[in-house]
Amino acid sequence: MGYEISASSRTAIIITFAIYTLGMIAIGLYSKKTMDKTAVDKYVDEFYTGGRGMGAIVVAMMVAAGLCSAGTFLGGPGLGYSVGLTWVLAGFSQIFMNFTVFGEIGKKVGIVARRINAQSYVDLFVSRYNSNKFIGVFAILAVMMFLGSYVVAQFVGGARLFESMTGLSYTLGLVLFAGLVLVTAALGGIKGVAAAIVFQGIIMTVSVIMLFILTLSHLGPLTSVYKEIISIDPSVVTPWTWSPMYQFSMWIVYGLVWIGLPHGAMATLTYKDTKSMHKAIIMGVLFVLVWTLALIWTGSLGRAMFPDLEVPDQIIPSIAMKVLPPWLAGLTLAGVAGAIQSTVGSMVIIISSTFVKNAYQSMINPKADSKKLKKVTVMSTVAICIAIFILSINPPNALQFMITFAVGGLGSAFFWPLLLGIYWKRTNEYGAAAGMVGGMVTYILGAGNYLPIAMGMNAVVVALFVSLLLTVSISLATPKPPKGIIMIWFGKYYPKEVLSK
Amino acid sequence: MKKEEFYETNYSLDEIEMDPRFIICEKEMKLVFGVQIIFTLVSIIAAYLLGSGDPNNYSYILGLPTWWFAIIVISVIFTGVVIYITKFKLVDMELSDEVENDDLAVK
Repeated sequence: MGYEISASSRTAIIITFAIYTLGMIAIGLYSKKTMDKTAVDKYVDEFYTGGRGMGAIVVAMMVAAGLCSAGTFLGGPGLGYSVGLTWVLAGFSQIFMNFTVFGEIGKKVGIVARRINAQSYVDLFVSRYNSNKFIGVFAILAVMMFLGSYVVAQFVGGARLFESMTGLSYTLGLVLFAGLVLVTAALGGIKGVAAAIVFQGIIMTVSVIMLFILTLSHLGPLTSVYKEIISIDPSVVTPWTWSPMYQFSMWIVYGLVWIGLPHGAMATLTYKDTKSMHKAIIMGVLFVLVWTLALIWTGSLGRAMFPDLEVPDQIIPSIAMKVLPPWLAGLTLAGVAGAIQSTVGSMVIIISSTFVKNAYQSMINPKADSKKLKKVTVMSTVAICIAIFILSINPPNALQFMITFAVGGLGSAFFWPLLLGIYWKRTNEYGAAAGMVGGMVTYILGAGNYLPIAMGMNAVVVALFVSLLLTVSISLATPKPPKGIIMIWFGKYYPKEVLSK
Repeated sequence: MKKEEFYETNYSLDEIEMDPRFIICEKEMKLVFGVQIIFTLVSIIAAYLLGSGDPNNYSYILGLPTWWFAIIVISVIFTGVVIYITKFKLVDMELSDEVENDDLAVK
């Protein structure tokens, strides 16, 4: 541990965190009130996509805070600390995530989602790929298993941090982290999560800026700080610690392939109009720029304060304890909690929408009426939160495997089948299925070092290449996709009556 | 449209009249990709050229190693570019079909 905490500091931290927690509960209850007023037949629409009426700030935060998780607050600065500025450079590739997500697919998904009434990420694949059973099941399993395990990892990280900063128990931390998400997600659906995300985004921004400014003033003149860090370990200050090829591959991973991640693409289903989408890009870019610059950079400067930290992920909390007054350090804990909970909140909604819309409604009980669907929606969201909570108390070893591959695996599997499906008419279900499986398998083989195929780069790059090759070649070798589908996804005119059935 | 026609696979892709909005979407997608790739290349080339050599001999601008200072300047400039493109190059469009296409949809 990089820091020692006195009892009075702990009290201040706990009070700050308690205020944040109360704020979250208030938001959850308020959203429940809004959802209670929603008519039964509109409930599922409202629950998963907010009736497609989300404004700019909400959508901006859904992408930005939804994608920036514990990684941006703990893991990223940790790597900035241990690997150094070359990692910080790679981190900069993510600052335009709102621009790439909305710019790559935002408007087209916005239009098509209204045509097909898409409520989940998987709905897009099901519609474009001719309701292919294999693609449906593969996508459902991939989203639920990978995102589910990712959520557990986030909770575990959050609860451990809570434990070390407040001195209270891990389980209590878990209850506060998971319980709050349960309240907001299960009661308020995407609207509850969205309201919470805006609140969390503001907390994150305030805590990050305070931390950054006070760290710089604590350190003094930067030239001598860097000279000192160079004398400790020069590799921390040069980009050449990573080869240019590896650096390039990291920029592909963190810059271009966000749409392969369901929690990034989800916002394209919810925004109200293109004006708010454009505003969301600008706001999102500014927020992510501030978070990335301040946090990961602060992490790398931490070398001058703590030359030999045992657990690099502890660098931001360690710095917070050293340079901030205790109540502000508590705000940093709230900021990390916000980053974790905003990501988890959107993931819970996605897992729930995937289960309810794609597994329950399309496969298990297609005849369910809106009253029944409302019940299933609420119950399965609660059940998902409980299952995740139980897994987080004592995470099984098998889960580690899934967590390791979650983000890269999803990105490698879904990126090309989604992008090509949206912009290349010829893509069909056979090509997409091959591309999904091929991308995911290649990624796991490469990233897990089962086969030496990564060629000195992040394994996502070779996985994307394989996925592209398979999607295109298998599509070309098999028949064209059905005419009606291409009319819906590309045409000016399309068969509405088929859709309404 | 009949069910058989919906599932027809023997047709020409070009016979489907594209929605003009989708043509704009595709152009914007390429523009966004282009900007992100240029940002990637400029940042990496600047970092690895300016940051070569022994860190002990680095020069500094405003307290930062020159290459790192350059990266921050580049990021801020591209943020400006992205905001400019979003404000002035990306097109506003109607997302629902209800208004103009309702009576034209294939019956």
